[in-house]
Amino acid sequence: MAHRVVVNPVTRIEGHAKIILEIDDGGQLASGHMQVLEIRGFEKLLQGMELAKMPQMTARLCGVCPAAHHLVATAAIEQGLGVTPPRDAKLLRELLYAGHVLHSHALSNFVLTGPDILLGIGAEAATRNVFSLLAIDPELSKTLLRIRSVGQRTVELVGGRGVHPVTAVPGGMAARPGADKLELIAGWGAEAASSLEKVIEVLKPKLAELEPLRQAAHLPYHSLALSNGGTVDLLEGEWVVVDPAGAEERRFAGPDYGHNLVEHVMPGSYMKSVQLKNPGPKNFFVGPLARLNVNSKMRTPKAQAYLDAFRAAGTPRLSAVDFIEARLIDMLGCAERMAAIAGGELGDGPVKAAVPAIGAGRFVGVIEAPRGILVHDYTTDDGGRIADVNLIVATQNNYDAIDCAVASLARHYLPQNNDEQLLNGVEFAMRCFDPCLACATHTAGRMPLTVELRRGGELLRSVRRGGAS
Amino acid sequence: MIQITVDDKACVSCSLCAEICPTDVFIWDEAKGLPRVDKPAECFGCLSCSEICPPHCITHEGVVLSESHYHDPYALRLASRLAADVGGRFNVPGDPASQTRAATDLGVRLRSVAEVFKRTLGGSLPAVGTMAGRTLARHLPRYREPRGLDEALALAVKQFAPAWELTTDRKGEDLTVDIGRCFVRETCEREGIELGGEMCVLFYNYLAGYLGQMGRVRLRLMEAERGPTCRYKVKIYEK
Amino acid sequence: MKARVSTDWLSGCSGCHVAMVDLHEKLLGLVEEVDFVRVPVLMDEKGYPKADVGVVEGAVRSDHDRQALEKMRASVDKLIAFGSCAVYGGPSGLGWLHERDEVFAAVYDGGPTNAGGERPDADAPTLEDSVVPIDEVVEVDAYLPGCPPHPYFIAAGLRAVLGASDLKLTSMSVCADCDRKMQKNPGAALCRGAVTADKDSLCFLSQGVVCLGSVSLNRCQAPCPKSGVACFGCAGPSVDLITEPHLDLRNMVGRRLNLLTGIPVEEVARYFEEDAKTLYAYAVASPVIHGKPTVEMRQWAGPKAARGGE
Repeated sequence: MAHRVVVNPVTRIEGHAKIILEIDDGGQLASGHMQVLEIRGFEKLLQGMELAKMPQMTARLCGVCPAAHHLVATAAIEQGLGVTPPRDAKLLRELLYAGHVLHSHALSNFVLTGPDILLGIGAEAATRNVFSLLAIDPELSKTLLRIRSVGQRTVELVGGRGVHPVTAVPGGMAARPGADKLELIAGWGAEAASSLEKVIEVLKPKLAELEPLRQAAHLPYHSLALSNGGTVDLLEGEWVVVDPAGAEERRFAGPDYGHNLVEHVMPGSYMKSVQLKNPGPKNFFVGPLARLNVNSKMRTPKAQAYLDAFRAAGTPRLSAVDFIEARLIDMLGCAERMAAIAGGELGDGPVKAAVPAIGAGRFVGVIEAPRGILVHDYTTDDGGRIADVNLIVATQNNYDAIDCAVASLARHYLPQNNDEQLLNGVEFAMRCFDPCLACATHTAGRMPLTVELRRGGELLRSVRRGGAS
Repeated sequence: MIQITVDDKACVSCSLCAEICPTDVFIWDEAKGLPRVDKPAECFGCLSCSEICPPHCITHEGVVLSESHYHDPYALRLASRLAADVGGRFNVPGDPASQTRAATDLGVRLRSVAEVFKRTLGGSLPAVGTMAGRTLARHLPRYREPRGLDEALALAVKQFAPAWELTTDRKGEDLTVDIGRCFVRETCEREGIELGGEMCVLFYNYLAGYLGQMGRVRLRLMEAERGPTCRYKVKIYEK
Repeated sequence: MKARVSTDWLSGCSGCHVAMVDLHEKLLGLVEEVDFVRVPVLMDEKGYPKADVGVVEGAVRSDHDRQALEKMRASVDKLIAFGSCAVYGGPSGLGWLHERDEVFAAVYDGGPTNAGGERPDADAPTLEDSVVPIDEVVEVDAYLPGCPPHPYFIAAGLRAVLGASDLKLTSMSVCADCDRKMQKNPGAALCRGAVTADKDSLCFLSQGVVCLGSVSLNRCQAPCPKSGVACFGCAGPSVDLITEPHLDLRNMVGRRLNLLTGIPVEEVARYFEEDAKTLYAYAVASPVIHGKPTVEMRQWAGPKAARGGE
């Protein structure tokens, strides 16, 4: 009978989860699996609500990436109504979103995974947090926090509020920031871009130290991302799938996702996994790395230079650890776009187009959330109220890939016979994907860590952080 | 005199306070777009202005809201832990002497109502009591929807506490209710009325109607013993 | 001696924790003032170390949430319900309207991509029958609603619990911080479903747009109406609605709309009842809303909504 190692809770991720490692009688890893322990059931909660208010309501799916839900819900309504927002409204949304991605990625790469990268996987648990980073390297930490901060403040100035922005409405934007605010944002964009270039240089040797893990966390899956004519575009594009060898496997338009994807319930978990179908099933991953595997162009010069270098090392890049570097390139592109849009690209045209009343229909929105492809699909009744909702979020798309990486790193650490390293190693595998479980189960979380070795359901040994019990 | 304060910074210039005040305490300053307290002596503390005020920026000093039957303790506690300026708005009921005076007054009215009911309705008296109890249960604010009879009993013990000291004991479908301190018994003693008359019948059934409605069950009064502690036994039927 | 602060996160979106990080540079000041002994999103501490103040985000949805909350309560002197989900159930609390199996069916069956007929097995934590605010499980010392609360109020709330009273948590509504002028505008029609209005400096209510600012507690500094979007009440009801059983969102918004525009109170009330799920979204699970003798929340938003709105 197999043994089980349970890591519960997984900390420094955006959600409630635990990890279970099944170990066979030979002491070899049989499988690794993440369980997501919460569910809110937004598919049900949203039924009967006014579709017009979804941009503000669905932001509440997730406190880490509310802007993604805010914009995809708006995009869905516009898709169903056949409305195109004015140029300046699109630019304002892109500006809002660039700030958001900067915040979200900074939170992942610095605040959550930063301790792993900068202090190492083997660092003492008590020191593996952002507060220790602040004490150890205050200057770098403050730069990193500052990058997140200017991103989030951009969301606040353009979106009305930092967490759960509100200004995107069907047809455009409810408000435009004044010239003083735009000037601030342009300055922040330039500042963040130059800080990021320095940070990337500082992190390079640290990432190089992770090379053994990069090798271990190999991910032989398809990459799925939006592509706007070969350019990374977070808000518009076709779905494109690239196979592990780098060849395009398929491409399709937003609303056709139902023909191409299938969701399954996973053991012990409230989160569903997603695979490709027709033909399928095939495993894939999404997110910053998938975007760079599918596209060869960025919209800004500095980010383009880094992408060229990233792809020069071979494409597609297929390791969970590569997500960290991909995220940095994503961020650089966003910082540059902030500077460009707020620094002159935004004109003084209208920001809101007229929209017809919402009646019965289907409304499908697809965007790239910071963590990858996000779908909102609504069906409404005659009164414009929601009859059915389908939500597919980035972390769900990455579920199989996360399990794959967890198993790979567990296999890497198991022979070292060091519980602490094993625990943080498998957690690190998850953190690479920046799993956002608030989104994924349309929930979120916390919890005490216990590690359990089980044989046939019988508890053999229990390890806790801070002593055995 | 009641002190009225308007927070000018928070005011949204709607002028609804001036419009709604029954005694014209405010005059509207068109130039500043603000109300001015003109005749504070006319204020009798109806609080209409602060109720309608959209930003909730009008406060009255010298008006104390009593923590009445309708102010749910849960809601008051939540409110006082939500904002720093809530605490002083509610007070506890008055001193013991005025409480007794109020109880006597109510007792006399209750007794006359009970007498009229008995004379006009005769044998329907229990049904009237039950109906009154059910009606109360439907209209009293319930900040906790009781889940089943046990929770309803616990809630009733709390809600009736100012006037009746109830102890309940439930064994399956048999329920025993002991009534220690009793507002009706006190009234009867004061008025020289024998226990077990129309007042008691009305009240037992009133309580049974109330508990039944709250617990979503049917209750049937089986027997009642009277004394320093009254006890009555009830059969429970699930609805 | 620094005050020790421990935080936790139940059924919610994590936005309140992010809002804490959004104290930006002030967070660093706070780190110097208080000792964070447990922040699950940021730290690897997985136990419940003793602390002076516990800060809990999210509502109670599963037995997992309940146990965590009880452990948290036992480990702290003062407990703050942080954010609308902890205080009133918030958006998570919409689950109060539905049976567990209805939720599962909507999540795991139907739709273009569900394989269908699959359910999480018994290894997943058991969901409770309903969603409840945290004070249905443990005693709460201070309530700080908001979705999320503005960092100013987060600092104010923390400082108040720690004994400082330099920042005030008043019972004023969102209107108190709104820049728009509320003026009479007879003849304006009720704009159902609207989130924006034509005029930027005039109150939404004056323009017939249902804005919940006047019936919502100000824990946000009115960012939405300042950015062209009507308030949707994310910090929950204003204090008068909580203490007075006869006051409710629909009758107070109705009265104000009526006085400003002449729209009949009944028309407003009907809109609120028909779209109760949207308009009451943030405090449905709180007894201060659904327990009111004037409110029939399950009748308005439950069965109707379950059928997809008829």
